Amino acid sequence: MLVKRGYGTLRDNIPALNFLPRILGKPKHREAKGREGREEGLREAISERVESTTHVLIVGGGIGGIYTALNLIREGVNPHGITVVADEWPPYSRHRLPEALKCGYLGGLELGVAKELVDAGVNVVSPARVVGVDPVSREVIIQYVGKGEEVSYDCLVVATGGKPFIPPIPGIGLRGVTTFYRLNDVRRLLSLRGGSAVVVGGGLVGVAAAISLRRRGLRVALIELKRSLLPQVIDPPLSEPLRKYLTGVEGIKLFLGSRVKKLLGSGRVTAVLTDSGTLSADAVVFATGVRPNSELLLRAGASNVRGAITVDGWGRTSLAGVYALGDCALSKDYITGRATYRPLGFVAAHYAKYVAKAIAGTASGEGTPGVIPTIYERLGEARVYRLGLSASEARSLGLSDAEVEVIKSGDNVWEARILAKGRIVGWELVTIGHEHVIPTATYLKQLLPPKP
Amino acid sequence: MKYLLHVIPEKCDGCMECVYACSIAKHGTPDPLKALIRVERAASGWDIIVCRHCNPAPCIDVCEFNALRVDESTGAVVLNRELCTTCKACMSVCPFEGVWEGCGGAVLKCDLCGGDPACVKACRKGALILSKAPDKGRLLSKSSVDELLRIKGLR
Repeated sequence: MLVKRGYGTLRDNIPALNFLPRILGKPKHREAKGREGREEGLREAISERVESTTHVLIVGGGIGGIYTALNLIREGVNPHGITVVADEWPPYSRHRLPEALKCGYLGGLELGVAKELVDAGVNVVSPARVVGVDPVSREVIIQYVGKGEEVSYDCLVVATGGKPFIPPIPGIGLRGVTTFYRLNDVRRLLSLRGGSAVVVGGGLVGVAAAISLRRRGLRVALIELKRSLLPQVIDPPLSEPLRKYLTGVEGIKLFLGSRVKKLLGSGRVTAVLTDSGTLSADAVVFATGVRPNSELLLRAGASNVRGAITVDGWGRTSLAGVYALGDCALSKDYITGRATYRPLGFVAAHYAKYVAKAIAGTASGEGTPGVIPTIYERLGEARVYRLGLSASEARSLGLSDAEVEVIKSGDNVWEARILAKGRIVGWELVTIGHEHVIPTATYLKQLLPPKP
Repeated sequence: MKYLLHVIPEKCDGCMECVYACSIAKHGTPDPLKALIRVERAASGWDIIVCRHCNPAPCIDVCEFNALRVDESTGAVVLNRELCTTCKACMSVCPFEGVWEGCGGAVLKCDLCGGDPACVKACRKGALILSKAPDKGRLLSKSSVDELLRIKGLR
């Protein structure tokens, strides 16, 4: 049920949100008091008044949202004028999930910035989500558990993130089928005691999850639609040694160029039917990529490319006063200047600086020159590095002559430069085991954008 | 690039004193998994894996979270774990693998112990040397004890 609150002015609306951080600071207290406590808090809060010039409403408590809040404070915006609406709190880093699964330790996931923001006076509203936005009257509808509220804003920052893509396969609703995206996914996988797991998706998330599961003693098979591993990260000449390592040393069964047809089982998944045969499975993990979670802005009419919100160099959308960043939005590639979809944490953090400058009024010029990918992952004893573009990403961004030049191809080091239009546009390295010196610096200078 | 901490792996015999000294200095317990310095088998002998505190530092350049900075009093490259999200951009550009992911996903990186690193004091082989700008080639050619004493101004 949605309760509309008919407050006309901005100043009346801010205090209604302001009580929430105090509740958040004491989660146990909130649980004990339940919904009654919340309503009591609302009544108290409405009688308060907070002076603020600009009300910035941030939708999303992930990296894009909280680092925008942090940068706004750095740019001089009053923390009391900033509200973050988050469906879960405190926020945690997805980058740490594979390691958390491997060690069975979930205590280090939380992002330290969260507490600092609350201490500084930022209003955090959680668990809650924004279910509607009217960009003309600059109002949003915030929905809590069981009720809603209409709140106006001066600037709206949409950092709703991504959502895991799950292919429409029969049997997807069976128990034991999970994504590798949320803390609860890791909790579910940690409860497995032996048995076999099938990971669908051979990207960084899928391979990292497969290794973590293997280290927990499970038999692991990995299925990837493309013919090579990490197709979005490195090119085939470098992923081939990784394939050998994963099958030979890690003991993961790989099915490349394979498709999942059906999940079998009654109630709980027991097997995966693929075009390379049937694999028994006590758990199936889908790591099949991320799509923009952008319905809020799509319904409001924001321009987009396949659901990813279009933004300029300052993170401004096509709607006045509305910004978007992170996994729900497009970003600019530094090398080609083209807009592209890169659901990566440092892309969100990069745009968080520009959005904050634009809102704080300290912006001048065109905004960001674009982001250059700086990717690293340790996969067991293998390390994967990439700076700049891979040949396949370069081609998808219009550099049709992009090619891989393998510089080194040894027993445990494989290195390649990516060349396009007569220049270096990227660098890739795979090592098995530790290397004394990594030749990153040579390529870094040619690729890195100037700091804002 | 200039370094504050020099590693001469040729002089390392894998005794792990630096690793234990680091873990004790940081956590009060000798746990190699918690240490901010690692010793690993290399193709020829041993290698010491630790931040060299480069200047200029590529990790600082690429960190979009402003989680890395140079400490003004020591010149060390230090990590603010509160700001870090383990995006691993710093790891992608580190020439020495001097930043890594600890158990549970937090990033581990040497902070130079406020300018007086426990690992350097613990190393009796002269494989770790703290200095503003020594000539590394010269360090390699001399015997370790001689050279260490000279660098420390004792000979």
